[in-house]
Amino acid sequence: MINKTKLSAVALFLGPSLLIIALFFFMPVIAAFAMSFTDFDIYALGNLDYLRFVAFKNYSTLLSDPLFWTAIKNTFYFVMVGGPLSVAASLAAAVLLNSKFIRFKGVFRLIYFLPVVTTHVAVAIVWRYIYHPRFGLLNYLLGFIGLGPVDWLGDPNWSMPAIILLVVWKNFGYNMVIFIAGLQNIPEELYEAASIEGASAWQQFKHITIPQLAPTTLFISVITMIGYFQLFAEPYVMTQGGPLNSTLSIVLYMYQEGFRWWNIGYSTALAFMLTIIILIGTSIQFKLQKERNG
Amino acid sequence: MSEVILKNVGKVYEGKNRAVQSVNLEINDKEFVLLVGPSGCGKSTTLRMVAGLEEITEGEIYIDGKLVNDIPPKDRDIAMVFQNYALYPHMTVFENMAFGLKLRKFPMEKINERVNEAAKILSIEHLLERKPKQLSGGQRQRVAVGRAIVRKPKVFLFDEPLSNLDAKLRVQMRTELARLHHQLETTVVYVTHDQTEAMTLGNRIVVMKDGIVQQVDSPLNLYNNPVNQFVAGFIGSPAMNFIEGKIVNDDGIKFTSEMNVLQIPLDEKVFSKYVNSKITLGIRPEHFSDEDNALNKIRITLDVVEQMGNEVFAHFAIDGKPIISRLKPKDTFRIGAEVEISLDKNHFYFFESETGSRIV
Amino acid sequence: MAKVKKYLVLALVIFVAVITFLPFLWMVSASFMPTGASNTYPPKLFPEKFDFSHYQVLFSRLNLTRYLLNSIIISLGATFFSLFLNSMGGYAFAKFRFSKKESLFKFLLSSMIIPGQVTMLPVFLLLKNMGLINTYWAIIVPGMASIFGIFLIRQYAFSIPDSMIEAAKMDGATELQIYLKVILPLCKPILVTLGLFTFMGTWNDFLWPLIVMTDSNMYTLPVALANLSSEHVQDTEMLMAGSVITIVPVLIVFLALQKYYIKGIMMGSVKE
Repeated sequence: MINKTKLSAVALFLGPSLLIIALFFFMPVIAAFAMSFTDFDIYALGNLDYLRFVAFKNYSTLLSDPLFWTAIKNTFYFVMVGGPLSVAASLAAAVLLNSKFIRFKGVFRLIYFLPVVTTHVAVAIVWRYIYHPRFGLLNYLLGFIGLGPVDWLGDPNWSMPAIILLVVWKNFGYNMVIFIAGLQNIPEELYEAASIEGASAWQQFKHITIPQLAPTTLFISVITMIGYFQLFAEPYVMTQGGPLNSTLSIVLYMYQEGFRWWNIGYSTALAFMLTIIILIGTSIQFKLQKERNG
Repeated sequence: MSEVILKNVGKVYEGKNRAVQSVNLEINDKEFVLLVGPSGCGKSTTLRMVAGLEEITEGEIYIDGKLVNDIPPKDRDIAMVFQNYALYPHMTVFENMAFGLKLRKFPMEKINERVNEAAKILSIEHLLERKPKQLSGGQRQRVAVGRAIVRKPKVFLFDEPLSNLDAKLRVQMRTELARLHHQLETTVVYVTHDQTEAMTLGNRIVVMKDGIVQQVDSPLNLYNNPVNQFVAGFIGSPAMNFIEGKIVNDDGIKFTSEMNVLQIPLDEKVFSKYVNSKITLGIRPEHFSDEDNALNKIRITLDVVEQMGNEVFAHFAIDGKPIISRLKPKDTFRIGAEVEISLDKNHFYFFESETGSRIV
Repeated sequence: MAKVKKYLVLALVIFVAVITFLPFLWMVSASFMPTGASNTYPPKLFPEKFDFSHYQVLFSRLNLTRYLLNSIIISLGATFFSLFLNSMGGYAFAKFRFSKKESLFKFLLSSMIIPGQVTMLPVFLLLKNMGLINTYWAIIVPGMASIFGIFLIRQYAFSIPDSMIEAAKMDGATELQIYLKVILPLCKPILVTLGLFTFMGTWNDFLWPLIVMTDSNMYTLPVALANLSSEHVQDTEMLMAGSVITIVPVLIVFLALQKYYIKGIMMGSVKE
């Protein structure tokens, strides 16, 4: 227990960072919320006299906007399929790398991690060519097992799976690192006790690893979900939301409405819809976890 | 001259948690004063108020005649040694000791001179270029002391400086601190929970409990004339034994223990007003005897016997209460042995059971 | 049996590594192929002869030097300021005593759930009013402080014992001196971590620079690359060279300091 710190010191140390956060985060959130009830558009941008309060009109328009529902559907597709796949890939990679058979763990971990730190845009460009229907590496490799060729980015049925595949490849290393830390925190004695009782490797995984990792998995699922709801760079660079809007995500739609057409009111309403969806998604996950824990 | 005066000093935390209550204390120049008491007794808080690390919510503190309540620590001309040493891990020993002087804009030659001088006193000259991580516990302790003495402050404050050391090193550092105080001739305020440390180091000891000063006295006076049951029990090792009972008037004023094992006739003048009130008898372990000529004999059975070589700690029960006695060693002292033992009636202490205050 | 298992695991690990690494390998080798040579069937994994012309063209005709410079200035600037502001804030939240501290911090943490995209339009309009669009500040200023950065420093600063700060006070240091001479040196590992996060995050960011840098001279590498990819969609080898240039600086930084990066992920994943 120390003295209270002098107010001047508190102001000096906290002032700058809190000012920046207030100015560039909290105020904009409030402003965006206000804007979502106006018809703020390119005319109002030039002259604020054109700005009108429209109450919930933006939100009601959104709900009857087929493109919005397409974006919602695509984003949910991406989150619901890509999220679990991503978490599963991370867990699998973590378990693999945690195996006592593997030497040079550091090297493999580094390789697995490389896509994480690589620029989205560069990755998306490279993968656009990997997905090339005629010359692409992926179709070439699939050819060996008698599959394809698939027009990955040109076929509306395959465009989202293509983006999911790319994102899983890019991100699995990140959560893998967290899983490895979680795995290393599981006491070795638990496995020893289980193997003495005759549990097979799979049984050990199911009855020790998975439950012991539950808090880690919850954390990873939540951050992965929040991040995946914000899908943007990959479809922007690879497909511009196409073909036939099959990869139009909420953020991409929001970007187009806001920064291409300057429908600012409409775009901020979209942003708040996204926020609400993320909030609901997060609370559902916490609730599921709680129920599972009884 | 650098005396420290505390006038009605108190500390109240937000809420209404009272940590220290009206402490009055005059610490003389060059005196070595110890604040001692169980954890949570307010001794550290008191020290930290003197240091300026803790706001003084009530009363006044003077250092060298100057009121320091609103003076920040750096301007109080004091230095402090912390329990965990608090050495800066990114600085060498030299830099650690020089840091305070540098901040005070001492010229480099002066800093060198002061640091080397202090290093010599503490025999850590060979460690000056090392980082704290490369030092042993005892060496870190010395550096922490060195950091305090280079500034030649008016007052040294020590906050349980030896409690992180192992037992052997603690005894060694204790001796060195005593020597150092003698050599530096500075006022020292020293906090510890260890009564042995208190007894061996201090000119005067301040015993605290629950934020209240119980007694301020020299080590010997505390031992011989404790003002209450708490001080009597806290000072001395093994601790004083307490036997509860009451005063009865049955053919003269007597103390009888709860189960009537002890019956001690008492001076009527002092004890007549305590008839029928609960009283606790205190007796130190060394005031038992098994010599043949002893009076007041009672028969006891030994529960535990700890042979120390030059003496023996014999444990037994009186009135069902565990008692430790300190006797001259004998081969016949074994667990289960029956011994006739006497209590030295010249060294009885009586306390009011309710308040704990001593009856003189 | 154990041996079979061992080789199976090893094979899997290597297989994943190959899959992970293959796109990088193809990117680098395609960037050295002559124009058109990468669009063949079957795809070639290695160039027949090395052709550096795409790199030359990128730097000479396509202004890549400028974009590289933009990216470097912006990333370093953002890193520098964010280290200062976040470390001051995080330290204050960890060690200062003031009323409402905990509730203020909880409020900040819980607001992290709001996606950053919500703020984009208002921030854009704000920066436009401040006249900062198409300047480096448009990216640096909003990123100077972040709740995550404050959180990271705070977690670390907890491990610094209070007595260290008190010792410095007794030694005569002011609050600012304590921060500069004791706290900052002690926080070095976490500062490296946060710096790395900020640098790489700023370098790799795409959406925000795309919005605030409308003048092509102010493009960062990812924006320039995205732009290039829509203009030169047929020129695969050139785009791969551009991708290599975009990726290499950040990979070098990462490889040099990966230990700190991994540690940061762990700290970020520690729940309150």
